[in-house]
Amino acid sequence: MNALDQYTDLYSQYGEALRAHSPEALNRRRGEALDTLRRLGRLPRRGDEGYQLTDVESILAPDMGVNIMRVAPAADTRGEVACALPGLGSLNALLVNDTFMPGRGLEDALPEGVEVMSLARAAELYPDDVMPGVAPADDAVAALNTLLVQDGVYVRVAAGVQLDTPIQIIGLMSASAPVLAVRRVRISLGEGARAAVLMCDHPRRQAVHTASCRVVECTLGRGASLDCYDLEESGPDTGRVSVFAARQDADSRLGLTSAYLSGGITRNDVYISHTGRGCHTELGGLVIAGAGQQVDNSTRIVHSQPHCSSSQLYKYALFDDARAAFGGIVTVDHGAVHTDARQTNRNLLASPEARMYARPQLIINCDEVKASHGATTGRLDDDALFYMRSRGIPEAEARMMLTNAFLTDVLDSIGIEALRERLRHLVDRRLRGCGTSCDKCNLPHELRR
Amino acid sequence: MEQTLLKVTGLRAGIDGKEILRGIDLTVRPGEVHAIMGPNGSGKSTLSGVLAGNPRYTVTAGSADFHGVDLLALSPEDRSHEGLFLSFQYPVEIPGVSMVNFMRAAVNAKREYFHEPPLGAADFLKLMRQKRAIVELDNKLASRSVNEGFSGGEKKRNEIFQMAVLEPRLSILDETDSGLDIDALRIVASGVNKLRTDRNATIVITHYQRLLDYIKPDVVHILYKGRIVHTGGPELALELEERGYDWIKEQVDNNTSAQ
Amino acid sequence: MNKTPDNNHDNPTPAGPGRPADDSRSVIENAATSDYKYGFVSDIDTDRLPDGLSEDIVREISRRKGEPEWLLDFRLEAYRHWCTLEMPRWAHLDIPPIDFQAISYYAEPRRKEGPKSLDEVDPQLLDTFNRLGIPLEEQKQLSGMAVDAVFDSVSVATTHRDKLAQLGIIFCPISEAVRDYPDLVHRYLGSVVSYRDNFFAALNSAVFSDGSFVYIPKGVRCPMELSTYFRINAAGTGQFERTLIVADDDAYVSYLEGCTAPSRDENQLHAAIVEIVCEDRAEVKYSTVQNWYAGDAEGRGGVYNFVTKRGLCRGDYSKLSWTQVETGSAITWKYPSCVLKGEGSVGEFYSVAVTRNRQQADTGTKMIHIGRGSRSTIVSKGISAGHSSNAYRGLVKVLPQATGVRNYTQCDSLLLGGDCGAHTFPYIEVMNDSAVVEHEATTSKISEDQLFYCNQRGIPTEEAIGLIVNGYAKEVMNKLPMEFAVEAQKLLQITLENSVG
Repeated sequence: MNALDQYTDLYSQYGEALRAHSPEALNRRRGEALDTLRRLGRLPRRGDEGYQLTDVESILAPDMGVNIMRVAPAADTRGEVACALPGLGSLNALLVNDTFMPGRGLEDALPEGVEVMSLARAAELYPDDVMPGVAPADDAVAALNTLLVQDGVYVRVAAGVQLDTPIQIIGLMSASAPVLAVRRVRISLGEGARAAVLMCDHPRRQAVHTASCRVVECTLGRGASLDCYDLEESGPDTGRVSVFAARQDADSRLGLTSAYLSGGITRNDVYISHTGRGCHTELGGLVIAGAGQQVDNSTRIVHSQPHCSSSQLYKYALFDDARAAFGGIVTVDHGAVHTDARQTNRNLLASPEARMYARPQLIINCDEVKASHGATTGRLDDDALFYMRSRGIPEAEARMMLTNAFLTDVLDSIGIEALRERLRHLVDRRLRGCGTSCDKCNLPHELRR
Repeated sequence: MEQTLLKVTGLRAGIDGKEILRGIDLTVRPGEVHAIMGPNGSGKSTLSGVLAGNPRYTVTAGSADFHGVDLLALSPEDRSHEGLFLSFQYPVEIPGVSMVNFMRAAVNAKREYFHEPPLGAADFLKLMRQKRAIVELDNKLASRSVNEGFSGGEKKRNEIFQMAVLEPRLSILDETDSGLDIDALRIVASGVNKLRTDRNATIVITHYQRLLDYIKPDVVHILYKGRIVHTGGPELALELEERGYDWIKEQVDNNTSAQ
Repeated sequence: MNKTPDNNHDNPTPAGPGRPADDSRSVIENAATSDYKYGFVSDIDTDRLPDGLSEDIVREISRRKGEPEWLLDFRLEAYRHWCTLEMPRWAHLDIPPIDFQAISYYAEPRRKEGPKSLDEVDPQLLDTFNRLGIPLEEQKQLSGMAVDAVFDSVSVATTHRDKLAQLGIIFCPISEAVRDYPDLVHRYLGSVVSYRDNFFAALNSAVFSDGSFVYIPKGVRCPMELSTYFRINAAGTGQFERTLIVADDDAYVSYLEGCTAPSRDENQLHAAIVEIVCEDRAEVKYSTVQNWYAGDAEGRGGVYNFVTKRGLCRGDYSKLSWTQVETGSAITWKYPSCVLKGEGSVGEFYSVAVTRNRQQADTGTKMIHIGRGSRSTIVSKGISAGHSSNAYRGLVKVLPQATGVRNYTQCDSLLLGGDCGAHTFPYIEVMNDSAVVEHEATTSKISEDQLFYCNQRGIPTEEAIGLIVNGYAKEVMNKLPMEFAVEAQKLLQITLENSVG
């Protein structure tokens, strides 16, 4: 029995209970997802096209529980306190495993035209909007999520609303037995709306193996502007498969900055499509991985409309026996004239045991385009290192500073200063081997490099 | 004066198995300015790199005593803490590392080495301001990444600025005059002169006499094929300027072939 | 406004004026008016095996060639392995199903005895090669290049052998080498490209008919360019040649390969293997100008060019340099590769690939870094026009033990027109932290400013495109041996004529 069978079997056995504990709008698509999964037969394995490193099968193979009966997790908002951004009143929501919990005072703090609620509740209110079908139907992870999803977060910003306060979705794992959290986030921005959403993943306990299967689906109305930040700081016993899919209407702007600071094995897939001209997409990725960690980012941007642009910058610093991959496909369709697509992937190997697999790809079917990609893998510059040491900076410190400098430009584009500084601080701490973020946070962190 | 600051004896070193320095003897006392001159490829930059501890070079023989410390046994950063400063011929650009962070790391590492507490932000900024004045370094350069986007002259001034901050006992200026126009040269040289005391010393490595018009050497050495083949007073530099290096080469090469 | 190439099978139709007497080496001369100059069919009596592939056919090929037991065994093992394989399906290539039982695996120009000298070669055959611009007769006299000519399945003439023999250089058809130097061939054949490597490598290993064998002994620099011209003539045949080049310690050779085929409605299969071994400090430069028939404007006919080329830099400080100019074939699938095993060994790949009409090319290289301090450079220039699709696919792999590796890859794509595709698929796998691996790729169209500038100076658009494209490809063209470079340049220009709307 492969890993997929265990979930399809679960569904065959307990599908009725699952549907009974879910709103109708989430049940509608399960049949289709099951068909897709049966057709695929199995989850992606290492060696499949686009999976040089990651074995999705093995991430989801352990026998993990799914909270079908919707047992409420213990309310615990310590994570919220820890993750709140200083100087920014944020609108917080928690996802404890796969269950939505509002942050303190969330409902009162929501401005006119902004909704942040449980996906299950939204499925009752907006049954036609919770599953917009933005994630590709043939993606195994997305299909698995659709098959089993029962809750998540729903964010809706009405047309014309300019939201200054970032919405923060704090993902916590809280389990005494191995658990798979099937999470779904739906972000909908109306015409001309503007918002920022910060998602962060933290472990609660590390004694047991946990995994998350997350799908984020975004739609951006004409001229909308969305900034998403996706921070992973989970524990070594965590597996994560994530699909982030966005569909952009004309003249909209999407920014996604992902940072992996700690975790177990992670595979992130990003799918971007445009439905009108003048869209801009900006993807940034920062990875710091050390002993036993494995990170794989895969991006797919399809340029099907004229006058759209995309830029991607992914930077990795790998220590110890870290394994990492970057795959990025930029497709420019026939007729997508005046596309401007750039992609850069730079990787630093700081240990003889570290491994990097890079696969940037361009598929260009239109001549009136500017498209380029670059990928480099190497180590710190010997000359810079010596220069710093000759000024008295100890080697370890010099390496840390140079690595920090190498990574920093991924964060430069972050528009919210408090967030940018916070991430800089986290990166700095991570590189100094001080575990992760939460100097004031009481979540357990044993992530020393 | 019997006190020595640096005593190099029989120093041999190379790169990738190729020997470049073939037995260097050099003694520098506090207060002195030494010039090391020589044709291209004679080993001048290798000598400065080896003394500063560039891991690219391998020392195969010899010793270097630096005020009682075995210089060659130290890491590059400890050599710096002990008071050795190398002004690079090609100062390295380090994108993403701001000058301020860079210098603060350097200053505080040295303080830590001597068991002193780190310098507070206000004191540090005051120190920077003070030292910048010595080489007329623009304040705006301080906010940029190390050497990134600096002009040739700015880079060299930045080197002397760092020297002023770190207050070394021995400064090695490697081809500091290369790529400088006359004004920049004057500013750099005056910076160096301002920093001279009777406690510290300077080794000026140069191909041309030009810089020596501004920084007057006490002793001039000629380096050729990895050895110091000639040592004299300031007049030697003038002679080289006039006659070039060929006569030295001939002299040495004839001696070698006669052996 | 492409002309339909001549598809007359029975009467050879000369395209363009005959071979110019004044410049015997020109392959492409005076071809400006023709779409595909080499599209004629030679009326030569061929002796061919019945269509289809079976163990009996493999045995028959081996018997006809009078091969030793070990080689028959090699073929049979390959054949049996091939039977277990399925034709691979590649992303981004649209390959119609191939009926491997409808191909004749052996076609040989009929003759009584093997030619002792050129005088004995069928005059019709000589004429064919003359028309291709490879005058064997004159090559015999001219210095500067030694030629082996492979016609359908069989090597028909090798020139300059005596002169090369004086230096100990062996340059002969591989079938002769099997007979005359069995130990050498046995030692190296299949040592770089195993028959297990891929579908077409297995097929080739089973049925390969002929090809060139080159051995450069220790310390010898081959004084002239060695060259093989390949020609598919007979209808319904495949060509499965096999080239083996061995450069012993401190040896050097520059090797050129040229290919043409008649214009036919059906597709012809070409599945060759090239194996190269470089021992200590040896250097091999392998240049290809591939101009197989590409099919007509609607994509009818043309050669399927599925080739496995690989070199093993076994020796320390050895060097292998691939240069290719790819203009022909309906579908090209090839990745000339370097296995850089020796310490400090160097691999290079310089490629210009032009596709137009309905052509599909998927080409690139693999650089496998095993040796310490090994270095590689990849420069790929793709030019797409019409409805064609042109992909670079390349692997740079640095194994854990390979310290101090350096790779630089640059892939540029130029699009001429809005209906073609240019794709870049690099695979980069780094398992050693001391490696520095860099990949850059750009895609652009021909600059309107440049075109206008040329126009304003009185240069017509077509010519301007030729100029600009040649400039764009120059970095690669410069790597070709001089004689080839001029021809390749003209070939580029001709290929692109009428291809820009």
